[in-house]
Amino acid sequence: MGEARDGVKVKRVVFVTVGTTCFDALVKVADSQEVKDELYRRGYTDLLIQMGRGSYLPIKSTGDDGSLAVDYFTFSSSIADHLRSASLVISHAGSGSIFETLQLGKPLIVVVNEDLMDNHQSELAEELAERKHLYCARPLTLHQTIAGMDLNSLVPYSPGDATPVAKLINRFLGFPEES
Amino acid sequence: MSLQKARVFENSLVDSGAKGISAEFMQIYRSREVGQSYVTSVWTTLVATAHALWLMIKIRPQVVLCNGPGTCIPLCVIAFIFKVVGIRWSSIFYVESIARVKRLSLSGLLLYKLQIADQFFVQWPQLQRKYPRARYVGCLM
Repeated sequence: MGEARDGVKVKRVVFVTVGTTCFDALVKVADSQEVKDELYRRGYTDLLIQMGRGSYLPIKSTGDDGSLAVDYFTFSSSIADHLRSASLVISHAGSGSIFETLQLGKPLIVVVNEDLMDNHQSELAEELAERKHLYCARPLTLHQTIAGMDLNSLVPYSPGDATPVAKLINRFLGFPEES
Repeated sequence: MSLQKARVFENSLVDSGAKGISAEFMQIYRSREVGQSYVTSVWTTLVATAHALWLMIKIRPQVVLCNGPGTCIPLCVIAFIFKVVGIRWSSIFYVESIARVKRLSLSGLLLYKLQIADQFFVQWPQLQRKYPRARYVGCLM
């Protein structure tokens, strides 16, 4: 499961991101023993939490005692790098985070923030979950989602194309169609 | 953040020879910050509208292309009023946010109901069914 040939453990990182928001409920539940145990059981070795503007501080751990290694930071100028090196991404429901992760082809669990007023963000997460591009959860159902997820059943997301819009706008403005 | 990403993208287009001159970026005032009181919002909306008016007269754009935040409303309204009084400088195109699957944003609703945009684009089929004058273009991301 986690051992490479030379005995060095292969890192499988779970990256949790809340973007520029404050989403203590997600950070807290990601740092909970229940979720950490579940992630460890599923073969992950490291948990890295980008906590944004939240006030709850996770407990760092080296993971030497046969458990998940845990680390956190507030913001980074290179979230893309963290996404690229992750084996699983758990993200808030921001459309930027969602599409950046899907375009990198990474398995994604989106956690909807129930404390937000006018939670239109959940519409996007639910729609993409229905299309099987990601899993959608709430803070309280995160550990169940992790326990029951089958990442092989996720459908890869094909990036969109803005050319049709450009063509429609050009046509309206009277530019000749490119053949 | 978006400004930084836009700048990097524009520079990459110039560097690769895809275009000659990079785009110009300028910031405009918001009518209302999230959570701002409605009383003070009246004043900030007037300031934002005056700023938008100045920009429209200075730039005289032929195309106004916007994607959702309330910041675009003063610009669109002014472009529309100019059109109504006969100053036909700008065509107005609005692309609703990809995060809007079942309901339009407030900006989208205003521009759709008041028929301010020349073309109104949505990224999910549910919205096209609900708002038939909108054009469905699929997910752009």
